[in-house]
Amino acid sequence: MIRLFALLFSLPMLASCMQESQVLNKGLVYCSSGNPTNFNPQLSQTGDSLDISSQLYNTLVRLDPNTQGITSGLARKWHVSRDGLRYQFELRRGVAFHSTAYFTPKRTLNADDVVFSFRRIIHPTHPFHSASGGSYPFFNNTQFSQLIKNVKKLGPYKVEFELHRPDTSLLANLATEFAVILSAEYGHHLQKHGKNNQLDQLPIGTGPYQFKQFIPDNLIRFERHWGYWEGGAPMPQLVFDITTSPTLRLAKLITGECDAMAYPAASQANVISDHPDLLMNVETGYKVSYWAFNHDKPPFNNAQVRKALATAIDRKTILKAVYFNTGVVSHGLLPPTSWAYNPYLDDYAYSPKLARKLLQESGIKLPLSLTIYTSSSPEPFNPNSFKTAEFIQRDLQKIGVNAKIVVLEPHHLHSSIVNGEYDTLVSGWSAVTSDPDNFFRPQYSCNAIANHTNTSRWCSAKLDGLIDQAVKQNRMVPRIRIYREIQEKLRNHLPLLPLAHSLQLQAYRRDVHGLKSSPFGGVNFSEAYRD
Amino acid sequence: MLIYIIKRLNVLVITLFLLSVVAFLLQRQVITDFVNTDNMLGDYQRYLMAMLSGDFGISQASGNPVLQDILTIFPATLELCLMAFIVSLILGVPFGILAGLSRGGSADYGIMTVTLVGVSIPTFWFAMLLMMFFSLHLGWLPVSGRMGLLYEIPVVTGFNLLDTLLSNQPYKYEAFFDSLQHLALPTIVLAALPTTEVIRQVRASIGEEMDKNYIKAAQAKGLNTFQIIKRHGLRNALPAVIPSLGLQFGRVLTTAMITETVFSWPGIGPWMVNNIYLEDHSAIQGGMLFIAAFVLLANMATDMLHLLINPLKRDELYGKS
Repeated sequence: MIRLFALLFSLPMLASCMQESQVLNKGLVYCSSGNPTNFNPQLSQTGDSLDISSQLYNTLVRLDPNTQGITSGLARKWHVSRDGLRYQFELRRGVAFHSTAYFTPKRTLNADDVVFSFRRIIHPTHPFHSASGGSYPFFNNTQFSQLIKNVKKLGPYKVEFELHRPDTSLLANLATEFAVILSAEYGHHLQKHGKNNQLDQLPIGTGPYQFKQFIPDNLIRFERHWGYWEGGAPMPQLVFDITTSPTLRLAKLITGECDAMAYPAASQANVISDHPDLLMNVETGYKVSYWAFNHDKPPFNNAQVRKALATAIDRKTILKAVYFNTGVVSHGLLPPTSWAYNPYLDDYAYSPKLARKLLQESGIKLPLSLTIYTSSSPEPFNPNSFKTAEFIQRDLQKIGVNAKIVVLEPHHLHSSIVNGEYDTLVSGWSAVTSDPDNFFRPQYSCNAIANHTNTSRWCSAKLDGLIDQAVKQNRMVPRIRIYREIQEKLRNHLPLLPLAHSLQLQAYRRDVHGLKSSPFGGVNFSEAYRD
Repeated sequence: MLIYIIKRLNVLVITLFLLSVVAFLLQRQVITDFVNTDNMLGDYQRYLMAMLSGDFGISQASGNPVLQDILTIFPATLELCLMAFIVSLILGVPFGILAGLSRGGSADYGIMTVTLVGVSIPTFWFAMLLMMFFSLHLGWLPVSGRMGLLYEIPVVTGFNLLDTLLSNQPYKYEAFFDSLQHLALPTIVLAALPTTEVIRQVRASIGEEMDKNYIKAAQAKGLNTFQIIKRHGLRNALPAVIPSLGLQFGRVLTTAMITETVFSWPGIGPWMVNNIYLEDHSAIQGGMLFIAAFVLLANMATDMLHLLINPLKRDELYGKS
């Protein structure tokens, strides 16, 4: 009996001592945060679907991680017509699609696949347009269908995008993880068998890994795509371990059950950087949190008042207490990594004394009382909006301004935003492309008031003119000049006070190399391996 | 014997009937994909026929028939529960004997104190404590799941330990040990409750048996304590433990749901919790009926087993003793 005992209990311990496992060295495990709704990023905007995008698919062009410029992807090169209305792409030859248990491709990538992938989105009559719900959130938000007149094949490896109006942010949109290229041959195959929905559930792409298995709430299994055009990935297997709780994800990373984890919380940053086996990638994300002043509610339409309030806020303390230093103070709405960032802006430095003086000079009736509306749940651009609002409230108290915080569920907050009930609002913005237009148009343009993304509800025809002028300009230097001018104007008018850019964190084990992440949240395992 | 089985089956059928009535009335209150009319009796009849043919409806969350979902998930729970029972017997019997022999002694006090702690400790807290120490602090055992995800083992029986050994993968023994490692912590947590029960039962019945005359006779013959327990004590003490184990099954299954959720064990617990969040009524109802029916069947099965092993019980039945 006792011997049996000893044996039973020594077994697991024994196994844990067996180093050098033959399987574990042949694959990577990524702790992802949830079930993807489908396996086609065209259809979704959640981080979980973004995480699979770079493993399964490629895009026409890519974003260079160092320069933030556009580089070649499936398109070898591209050409923009002089009027900015035609974009021609020349495709790479010999790009192989995945060959899986459910589909064997007979040809490599050509112009038909590109036409198929984009017509599906823009043509409501396309056989696949309404498959899987027919909603394309990213393309709706960027008004893609209204911009593109047609996508047509010019030759077997040549495609042309015809635009309604010039828009230089098109390339940045095509470089996102949403604008993936599907297989037209697979589409026709499914159509013949009447299984259109399968296109988005059993994916066929050109990416470094191909789909093998999906068990909801449990795992997604990928295997190496040997024919990958950039060379096969170093690891034969990639598994996404679906773990919704961030605490459990970190626990698994510490025990080594996962090699990398999705979305570490800001509060976990210290644990990760202190742990000897873990490393953390830190990148300034294209996200910003801000404090917006509702211009429909006096006295917040008074620039002097806004400036007084802005000067009263100690943003460094917010950064420390709310972001756990996983962020940087925002000067202007653009993150410092953006090519249009204006480094010469002087900022509203924290000074309660000056704030009090400005407020008295503004000539409004004192003491001032205001409401701060904010969301009750953590958001990508702010780990704790409520705490941020509390710090603002405390800072305002120091200059004699009485603030009342209204915390609402995201759903209710949205309807308050629609009705414009707030005096001020602590919120933010997560950009989906690196293009500066993706910051300025949604936050400051007049049209965006109706879309409820311009929360300061300030409308200026002059600024709108500048924003439109910038996207029409296809030469870089004049475009940068326009954006700098926009930032100057915003700095002087101050419709909202940018608070912080959250850092994009990525945690992984020390023995993992070659992991790439995108500033928008996706992860890329094409070159990742473990030694 | 046959009459007893029939009697017992009768009770089972009546309990299941009552269960189905409750479930039926509940499902009338909420909207499911089951079509209701004004004719309650007719509805119930159709409902019962559907349940009997294993048609619990379609899960709105997964799009699969509920029964199919349950059958793919339940083996994971069953594997964990069985392991917990095995461990509880392995640990419970010797400690129960020890406590029973030294009634009132220090060993007895020690064991009973630990038992009391075992009963009263909250499952989720105990689970997290073990996780903190063995996984995060010492790094010996994994924190969650049934097996390292890089092992690709085809599902045959649904029991991971069996499936790994049945598979043709070159790493099947490695995968087997990996499964054992994953099982270790959840099993210990889940075994806490039945182990204390086994200890208390064995202690009580051993204590009772050891006072009897035939034991004294054996002692007089010159057998040592070990031999007495092996030949006489255990044989008469153990059968009494079996029905209480059967009764424990319901509680263990409930605890298993909590344990599974803490260790992300892909069993019926997280599945039910998830469906409750998603308000997937057909899945919740199907799961509830399935678990209830399973517990009832398990109780009956242990009763039968008890009957087979313990001839005295059979005599009791027929009023012979």
